[in-house]
Amino acid sequence: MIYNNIFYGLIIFFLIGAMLSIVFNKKDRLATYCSFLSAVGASVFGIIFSLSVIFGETFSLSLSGSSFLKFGFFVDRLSAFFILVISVAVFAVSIYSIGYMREYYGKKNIGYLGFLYNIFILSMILVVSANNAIMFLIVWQLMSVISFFLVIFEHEKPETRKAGIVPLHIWLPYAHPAAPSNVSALMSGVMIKTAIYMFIRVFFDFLGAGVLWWGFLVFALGAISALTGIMYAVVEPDIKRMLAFSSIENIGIILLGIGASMIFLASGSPALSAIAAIAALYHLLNHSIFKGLLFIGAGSILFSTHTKNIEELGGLIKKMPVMALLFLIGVLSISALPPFSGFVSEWLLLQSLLLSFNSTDTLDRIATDFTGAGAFDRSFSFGFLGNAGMPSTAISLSTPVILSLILLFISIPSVIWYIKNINTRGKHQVYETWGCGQPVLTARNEYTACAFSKPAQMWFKNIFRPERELRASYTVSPLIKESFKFELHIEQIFERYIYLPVTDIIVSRSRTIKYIQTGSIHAYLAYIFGTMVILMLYIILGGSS
Amino acid sequence: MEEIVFNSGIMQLLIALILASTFLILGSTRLYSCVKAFGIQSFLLACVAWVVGFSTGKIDLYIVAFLTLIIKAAVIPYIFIYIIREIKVKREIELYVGISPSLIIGGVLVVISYYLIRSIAVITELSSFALSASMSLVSIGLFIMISRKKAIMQMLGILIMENGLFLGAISLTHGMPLLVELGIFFDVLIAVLIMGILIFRINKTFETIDTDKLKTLIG
Amino acid sequence: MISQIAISISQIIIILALAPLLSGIIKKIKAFFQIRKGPSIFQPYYDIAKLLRKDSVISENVSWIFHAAPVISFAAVLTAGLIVPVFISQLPFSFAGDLIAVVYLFALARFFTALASLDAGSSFGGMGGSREMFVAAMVEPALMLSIFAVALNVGSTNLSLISQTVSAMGLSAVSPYHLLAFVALFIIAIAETGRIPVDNPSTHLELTMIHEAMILEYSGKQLAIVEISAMVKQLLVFSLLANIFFPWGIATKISAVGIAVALLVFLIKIVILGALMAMVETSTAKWRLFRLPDLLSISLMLSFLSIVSFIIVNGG
Repeated sequence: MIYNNIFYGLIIFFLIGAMLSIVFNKKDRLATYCSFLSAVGASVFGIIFSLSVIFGETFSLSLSGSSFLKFGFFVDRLSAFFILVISVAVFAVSIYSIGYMREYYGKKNIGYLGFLYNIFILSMILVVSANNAIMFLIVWQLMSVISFFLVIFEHEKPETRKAGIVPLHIWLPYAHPAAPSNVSALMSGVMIKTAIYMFIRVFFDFLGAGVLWWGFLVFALGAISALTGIMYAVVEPDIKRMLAFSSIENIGIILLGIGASMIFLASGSPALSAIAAIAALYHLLNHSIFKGLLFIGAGSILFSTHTKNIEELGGLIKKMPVMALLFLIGVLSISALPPFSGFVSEWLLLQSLLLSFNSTDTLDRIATDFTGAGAFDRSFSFGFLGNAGMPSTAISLSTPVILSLILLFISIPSVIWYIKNINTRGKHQVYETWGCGQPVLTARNEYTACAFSKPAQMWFKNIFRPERELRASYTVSPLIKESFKFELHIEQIFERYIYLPVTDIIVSRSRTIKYIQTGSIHAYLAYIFGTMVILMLYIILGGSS
Repeated sequence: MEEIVFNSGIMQLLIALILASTFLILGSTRLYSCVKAFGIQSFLLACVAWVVGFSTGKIDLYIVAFLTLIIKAAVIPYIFIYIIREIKVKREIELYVGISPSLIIGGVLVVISYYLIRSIAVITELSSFALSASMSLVSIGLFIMISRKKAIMQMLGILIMENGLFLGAISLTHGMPLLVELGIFFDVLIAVLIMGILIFRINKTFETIDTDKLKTLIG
Repeated sequence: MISQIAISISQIIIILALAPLLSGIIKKIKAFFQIRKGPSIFQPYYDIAKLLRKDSVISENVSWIFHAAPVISFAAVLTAGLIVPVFISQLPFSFAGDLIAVVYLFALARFFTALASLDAGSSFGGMGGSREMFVAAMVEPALMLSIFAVALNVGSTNLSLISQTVSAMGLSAVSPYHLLAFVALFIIAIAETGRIPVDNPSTHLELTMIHEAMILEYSGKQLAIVEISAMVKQLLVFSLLANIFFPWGIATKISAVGIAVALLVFLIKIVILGALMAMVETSTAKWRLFRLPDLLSISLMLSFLSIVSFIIVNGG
């Protein structure tokens, strides 16, 4: 019963937040506090609820409805895991938003944003806790529509909306960065995970991962997503779009894990399947946290510099030292470097892939760890975040965690000792950086982000197909340039070679079809009649044969 | 007897090295290093023939090994180097397919040949290794002929294919009758000579040995 | 327990003590191939001692990253030193990390060096960092695949287990896939240690340098730390090569004689590897940056061949 109350509490908090922000529409500050504080409260409820489901029992709640269609909620460990992911991200982002919204005071309708924000999160939670497909589709649509409004909140230009898997990803780098930064943090960090949730549900619960080639297909899609995502992230100058591309990469990595899990399950090694799936889910959790962190960081940068272009940024570590440290942690985590969490999940994923070729005795050991604790049938396949999987997960996770601890143990004291020494002893001399013979070193001497990623961009020029434009005007001598303009555009290969041709074809076909749209009612009736006759003929012929 | 030969580590090692030398040819951009790698490959092939001869006790395989060593590992590379030096061709290979893609395609060809060989029921595991290596050599040789512009590389491609066939023959049948082998050697040598002369002629006519230019012969 | 701690500490001390020696030996062998006399093999010790005594000049533009980066890199490399077998295969910390962890630790060290290279705002630093990251992006897939090949061979990525298994197998461990994986990893070792076809450790020519460009702003004690961590990393890469592929002679149990023999054998092995490296360095020219991916895709292909031949020979 207590579950019900917590769950209701969660929903009510979001609804209150939404209501109050509409009510205090005119008062920016009050609206901000109402909407985001209630979101914080709701997320606390969410965390408690999800943890109690993960360590306790499955929760289900049916609302009214006929016996044929029971509308209601069903939260098992998988759903609870996703609720946890959402709640943790919402908790952090909402607190951040309270400060961040100051940017919008007097410029935008904050009450409206607060309303959308609360409903958006609520719809995400409902998506992962819906108990049947129809309910799921309804809230899914709700989530999509609201995310659309959130995207157009800042710019009045529609940049449309679903999971960021190549080649279905092209909307993502446009849509997410267009929203306010706190919302993009949620979209990129959390919303795309609901698609992963749907994916897992459909493949493991509804269909059952029975067929081998599905796994391979998912694996291949994941690999392509990961590669494309990271390649475009490397050359992207807009910091928020770069993060969105990196989301594509990370969704790819998660899909790699899920694909591997499907392959292992179909080929009859449930233990490996579980490890791969744990790695994927763990990476999902990590990604939602560090991507949230990075988007929030990008938001702060935008807040204080009013630019998203990496080329124009620089020296921020002096102005925002704490932010820089936190951003660095996010970056280390996203680069899967120890000692942060990204390393642990990618290590686990690599291990699960490597183990697949391993000798059987290691496998057997792990398999007994798993199966000994509980039955490993299909219905259980994703419930292992609970008790049964815990011991062996703990064993397999211990390696990278301990390593990271050792690393921290060595590096933190030495860094502190070192920096202290440098500052107190003062045995160093401060001098300006050599400016390559220029009288003063300016920001123009520095390496830009574009220049930094230039080797990669040149090497993959067949994929990026960069269009460069170089305009220089000279003084008396061609060696001394007066001004210099360099422009570079990277081609979005999927957009160019898959989407545009397809839309072209559709548009041109539509033109031809237009001829039958005469506008005359008689003609339309004639079409209906014709269709009916054809159908009747079909039935007759079908009956005779 | 046969099993002992074919499961011995040294055979595996030689075959793997032959494969690696093929990739060396695929991965280098200089004519000289290609020719050198071909020489190494032929030398390894001679070693294979010698090992098979040693374990089966067939005297004629020693002769084959010796001939391989002389003709393929010494004379033919020498002819190549002579040609390169005489016609003063640019030492860089011009490619239709870049080095990295070529290497990847080579890898794919190895896998394909392995699956091809596996689908044919073969006798032992090691002969399947040798057979798939020989199949890969044939296909990579063909690929080299397709993807490189210089006429010399087309010659080299043919010779790699021939090496592949030789490897297959030796690992399956322990060598064909000596007379046939001698015939093949003679053939290869004459072919190289003729192709060499041809290259000289091409060079004289077109001032280049870029086979791309042969297109101008049409009509 | 005490013996375990003693092993860890002595391993770190031995690594720190041997790392400059290896650098000196490689330089000496290189000089021999180039028919020069060359500096003494103890020169790197003198250099470091001298740098440690010097004051440093620091750019006015730098932030704390610049100060922290050498220490963090050094810590990362030393952590790797705890899990790479050098003279004894049974390391107390072997459970804490495997081959993949070593790769990531090296990546961490590299990440911070590249970050610090950008900090001073000099265009040379940025150039070095950019090139280093480009090479790293090519090295890492190749490295992963070669690790895959090694792990396939032994059935684990745990370094202690690998060296124990291979040394127990004796000479029968030499197989085509073993050798192919070795060559693949050797090519990567060239890139990781910044040696000639990839990077030239002995010049400061702006057109070609990679690692030297990154650390251009460092001087004095900080430079000493950077240099030591580069040397330690080099030693670790060499001991990886030696103890994954040819671990014979490594001590498997704690005994004075065994460890003494193992140390001697280890020295011989790294000298041989160093000679090999010096030979490669002398006989090739530095490659253009954009040809490096070709070199690394050769390594990639060799690992791939190693995996394929393993599957073929063992009847996949």
